[in-house]
Amino acid sequence: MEFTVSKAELVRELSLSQGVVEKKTTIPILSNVLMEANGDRITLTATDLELGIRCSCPARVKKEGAGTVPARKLLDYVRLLPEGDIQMKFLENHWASITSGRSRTRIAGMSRESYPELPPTPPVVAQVPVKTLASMIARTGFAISMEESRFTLSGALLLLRPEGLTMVATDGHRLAYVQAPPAESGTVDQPFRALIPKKAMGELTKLADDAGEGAVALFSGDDNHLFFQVGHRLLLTRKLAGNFPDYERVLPKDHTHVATLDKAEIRSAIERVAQFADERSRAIRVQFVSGEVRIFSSSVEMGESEESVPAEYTGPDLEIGFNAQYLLDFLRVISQDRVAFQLKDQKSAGELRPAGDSVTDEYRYVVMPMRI
Amino acid sequence: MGRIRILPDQVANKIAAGEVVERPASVVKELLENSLDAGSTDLRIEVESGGRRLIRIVDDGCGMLRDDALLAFERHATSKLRDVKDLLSIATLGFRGEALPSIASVSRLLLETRSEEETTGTSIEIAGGKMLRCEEAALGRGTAITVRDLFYNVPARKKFLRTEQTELAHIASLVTHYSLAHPAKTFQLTSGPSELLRVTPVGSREERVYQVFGSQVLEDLVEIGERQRDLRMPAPGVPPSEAISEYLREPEEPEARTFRLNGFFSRPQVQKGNRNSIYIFVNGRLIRDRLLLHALSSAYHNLIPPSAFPFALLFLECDAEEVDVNVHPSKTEVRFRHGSFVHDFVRDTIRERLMESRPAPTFPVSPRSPQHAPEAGQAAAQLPYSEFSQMVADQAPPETLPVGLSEHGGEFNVPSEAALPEFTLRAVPGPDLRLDFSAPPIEVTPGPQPSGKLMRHADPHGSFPPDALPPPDLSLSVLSALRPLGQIHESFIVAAGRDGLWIVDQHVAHERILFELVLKQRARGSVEMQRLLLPLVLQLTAEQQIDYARIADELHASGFETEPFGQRTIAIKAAPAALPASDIERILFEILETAEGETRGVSLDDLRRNVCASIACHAAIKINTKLDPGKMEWLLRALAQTDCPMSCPHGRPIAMHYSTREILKAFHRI
Ligand SMILES: Nc1ncnc2c1ncn2[C@@H]1O[C@H](COP(=O)(O)OP(=O)(O)OP(=O)(O)O)[C@@H](O)[C@H]1O
Ligand SMILES: [Mg+2]
Repeated sequence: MEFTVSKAELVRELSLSQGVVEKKTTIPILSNVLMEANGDRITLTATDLELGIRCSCPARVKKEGAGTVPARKLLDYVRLLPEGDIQMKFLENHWASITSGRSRTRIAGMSRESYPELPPTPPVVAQVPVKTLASMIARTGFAISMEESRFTLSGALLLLRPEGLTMVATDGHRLAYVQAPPAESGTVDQPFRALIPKKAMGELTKLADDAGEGAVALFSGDDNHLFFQVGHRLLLTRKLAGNFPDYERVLPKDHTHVATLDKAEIRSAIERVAQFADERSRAIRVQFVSGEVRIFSSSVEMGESEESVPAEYTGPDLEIGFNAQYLLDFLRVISQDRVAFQLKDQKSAGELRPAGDSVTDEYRYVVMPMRI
Repeated sequence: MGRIRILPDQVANKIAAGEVVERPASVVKELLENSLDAGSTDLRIEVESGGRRLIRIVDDGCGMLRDDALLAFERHATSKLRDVKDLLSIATLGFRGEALPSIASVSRLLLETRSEEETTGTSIEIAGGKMLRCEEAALGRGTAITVRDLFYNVPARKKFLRTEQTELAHIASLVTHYSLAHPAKTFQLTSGPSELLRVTPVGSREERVYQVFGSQVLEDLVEIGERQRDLRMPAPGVPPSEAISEYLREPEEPEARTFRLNGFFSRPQVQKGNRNSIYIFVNGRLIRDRLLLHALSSAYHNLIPPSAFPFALLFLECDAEEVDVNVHPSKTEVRFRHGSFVHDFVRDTIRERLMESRPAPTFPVSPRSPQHAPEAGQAAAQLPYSEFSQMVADQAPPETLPVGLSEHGGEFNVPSEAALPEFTLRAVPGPDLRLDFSAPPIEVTPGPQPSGKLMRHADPHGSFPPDALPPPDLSLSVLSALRPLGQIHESFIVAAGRDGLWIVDQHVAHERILFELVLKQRARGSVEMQRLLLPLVLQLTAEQQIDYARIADELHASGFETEPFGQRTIAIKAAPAALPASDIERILFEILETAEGETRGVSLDDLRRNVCASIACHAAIKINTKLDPGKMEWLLRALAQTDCPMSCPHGRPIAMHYSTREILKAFHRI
C-alpha cells in the first residue's frame, strides 16, 4: 500500500479515532489504527470492540492495500510534521514508512489480518440532525450512572419516533428527559428504541462538533449494534443490554407547587452555598417561601452558609433537601434564563424545567430529595 | 507461731479443686508463684530435660519457719487464707494450699528454706509424698525447691508428656511472661548449660520488654502508660461465684473502685495468625480470659483483619474483690464481678491509645513476629510457644468478628494476577552495615587521592551528613504535611515528606475518612439519606429475611429506608447519601452477609461499625482512578485528620512509610 495524503486531513481523521483506540494494552492490535487505501481515498478504522469508528479522507493512492500502525504514535508524529503532503508506504514486514519533506520515519506496524472486522451497516431507519443528537446528549449525559448494576445502566435510552426524538438518562437518583420537537427530529422511517452506552455518546458529540452545519446522521441498528453515519464517518457501538427503568413512572404527572426563578441567580447562589455542604453528599436545604427561595448548607467541620433568591412562588412553606451537584448539573446546561422548580413535598421528586418563551422542546429533570 | 494453717473443711470445700500438676510447666508455675508470694526479688530457675529430670527454683523470699515447712506439705495448708471471706479478696497468687503437696506426691522433692526469724534453716526430702528426711541445715535466707524425676511414680502421666523441647518451651514462655510482669525483679532461667533468660531489675516495663524481646519488637509496640477508670459503686454486677455469694458484703463497699491498665500492644501492622502473642495479667497473675481477649479484639476491630491477632502484653490491676480467681484449679481463669465494665475499659483504653499514637507502618509490612528479635531478644522469648495463650486458642469460641468484606473498591485492572506488580518497597539486602565493636576493623581502602588539589568536591558516593537526617517521625500526624508526587497505577498516592517517602492506598484512605464521617453522623443521628427515583426491590433468601428483620432498625438508622414488600422481598426507597444507586443492592447484601456471619454475640456497636464500613467502602474513591494533585492533597489532609489513619475499616494498612533512614540504608549512604 502506498499513498499520499494531506497532513491536515490525516490529523483530523486520526484525532477522531483516538477516543476509540484501546488505551490498555491487553490486545496490542487494538492500539493500532487500520489504514486502507482504495480508489482515491484512504479509510481509517479504530475499535476497542465496544466502539468502532471508521473515517476516510481523499488521498492519491499509488498502490491499494491495508496495514495497521499504532494510532497514538502515528498521530503524535504526524501532528508535528509541517503542513503539506505526507507519503505513506507499507512495507513487507508491516512497517510503514512516512515521508514528508525532509523527514523520513519508519513506524512498526502489524499485519491487518489480525485486525477485527467491523459489522456491516444495516439499512438506514432514520435521518437525524447531529446537532439535535448532540444537544440531547449534552442535556442528559450528566445524569448517567457511572456503574452498571441490575438497576442502573451506564448509558441513555434513545427513542426514535415519528413524533420526535427522545433521550432519557438516569442514575437512580435523578432523571433527565428530553424530547426534541418534530421539526428538529429529522425523519424517522421506522420507530426504534435503543440503549446507547455513555462512551458512544461522547464520541457522537465529537463527531457532531466536527460536522458541518445541518449535518445529518444516518441511523441504523442490528441486534447488537447501533450505527451512526455522519458524512464519510461512521461511528458504531455495541448496544447496551439491560432494561431501562420505567421512566414514565418517574416523570411526575402533577405538581402542586411551582417556583420560577432566575437561572443565573439560583445557580450562583447554590454554587456559593454548596461550598459549605458536606464534601461527599453535597447536601443543601432548599426552602420555598412566598416570594423567595432560600438555600442553606452546614457542615460540622467547616461552617454554614445561606442565601436567598427572589422567586415567583405562592405555595406553602416547604423545605426540601437536595444534592447541590444534581441541581447545578441541570442549571449549568440549560440555555434559558429562567427555570421552573416544581415540587410537591419533602419526600416526592422535584422537577426542574427551563422556563420562558424560548423553550421549544420538552426538557424535564427529575431529582429525588434527600433527608438531611 | 507458724504462719501456715490447715484450712477448715468448710473453706477447703469452697475452693475449685482438681488437678494441679499436669506437666513440668505447671510445677514451675506453682513454685514461681510461691516465690513471688514470698516477696522474692531474685528468682533463679534451673531445668533439665524440659523439666522432667530436674526443676530447681531458688528465691530470696521470706522463707519458711521449721514448723511451717513441714506443714506446707499437708493438703489445704496455706499461710495465705484464713476463712471463707478471704476468698472474696485474694491478693496472693496462691490460696489453695494444694501446690506443694501435689508436687511432692509425684516427684522426689527437696525443700531447703530458712526464714529470717530463725538462725538455721530446714531441709526436707520427700519422695512420692513420703517424708524421707527432715533436718536442720545451715542455709541462707530464702527458699530453694528441687523437684526431680517428675511423675516417676505415675507412669501413665509420664507417657503423656510431650517432647522435651515442647515442655521446655512451655516453661520458657511462662518464666518470660512472669519476668515481664515484674520488671523490678531478677529472673534467670537455665536449661542444662544454656541460659535462656536473664534479666536484672529495671525501672520500667518498657525496659523489661526491651531486655526480653529486643529493640525490634519494642519498635512495633505502643505503650499504654497507665490508664485508669473508676467504677462507681454500687454497680450492677455478678457475684464472683455462687459458692461464696452468700458472703457478699455489698453494703460496706467504698464509693468507687479503680481499675488500672498498663502494658503494651502492637501497631496494627503486626498481625499474627493466633492468640499466642497475647499475654494478660490480672493483679500480677497470668490468666486466660475470653472477656479480655474479646475486649482486645474489639479494640482492633476495623483496624486489623478479623482473622488476625495483635501482640499484647496487658496488666490489669484492680481491687482484689473485683476479681474472683477461685474459678479453676489451675488458677488461670478469673471471673470479674463487673465484667462488662472491665471489657469496655480495656477495649476503650486500647482503642484510644491506638488512635492517639497513630503508629505508621513502615516497610516492609509483611507480618513480623515479635519473637524474632535477632538484635537483643532473649533465647526464652524466641521459643514460640505459650501454654496459656495456646490453651485459649484451643478453646476459643468461633470468631464472631465479621469476615473481611470481599468487595474492596474493585480489583486491579491488570490482565493477570501474575502480572501484578509487587508493592512492597523492599530494600535490596546489601552487606550488613551494623556497627559491631567486636568485629574485625573495617578495611578502608583509600581511593586515589587527588593530592594537592585546592578544591574539594563533595564525594557523590559519600555518606550522608548525619545532621541532614531528620529525626524519624513514626506518627501519621505528618500526613497532612506531605507533598503528593503522583500516583502509581492510578491507585496509590506517592508522597514526599520531611522524613522520606510515603505510599498511600487511595481507596482505603478515602474509606477510612468516610468511615469516620459516617460513624460520626450516625452517632449524631444526622445521617443524610438520598431517596431513590424508583424503589429497588430485592429478593431475599429465608436466612437473609431473618437477618434483615433483626437488623432492620440499624439499617434504617444508618440511612437505608427499607420496607418489607411481600414474601421475602424488600423495597429500598432511600439509601445513605453519596452511595451510587448502582451499588446499593450489593451493599445491602453485603451487610446482610456480615450480619449473618455473626448471628450470635455480636454487639450493636460492631454491627454499626460494619454497616458504616460497608457504606464507606462503596462511597470511597476506587482504585484505578486518576486523581488531580488537589484531590490528592485533600485526601492526605483529610486522612491526617482522622482518628485512625493507619488502617482501613477492614484492617488493611493505608499508608506505608519508607523513612529517609531506610532509603539511605538501602543506598548504602549510612
Ligand atoms: N518459696 C516459698 N517461700 C516462702 N514460703 C513458701 C514458699 N513456697 C511455699 N511457701 C509456703 O507454703 C505454703 C504452701 O504452699 P502451696 O503452694 O502448697 O500453697 P499456697 O501457695 O498457699 O496455695 P496454692 O495451692 O494456691 O499455691 C504457702 O502458703 C506458703 O506459706
Ligand atoms: Mg502456691
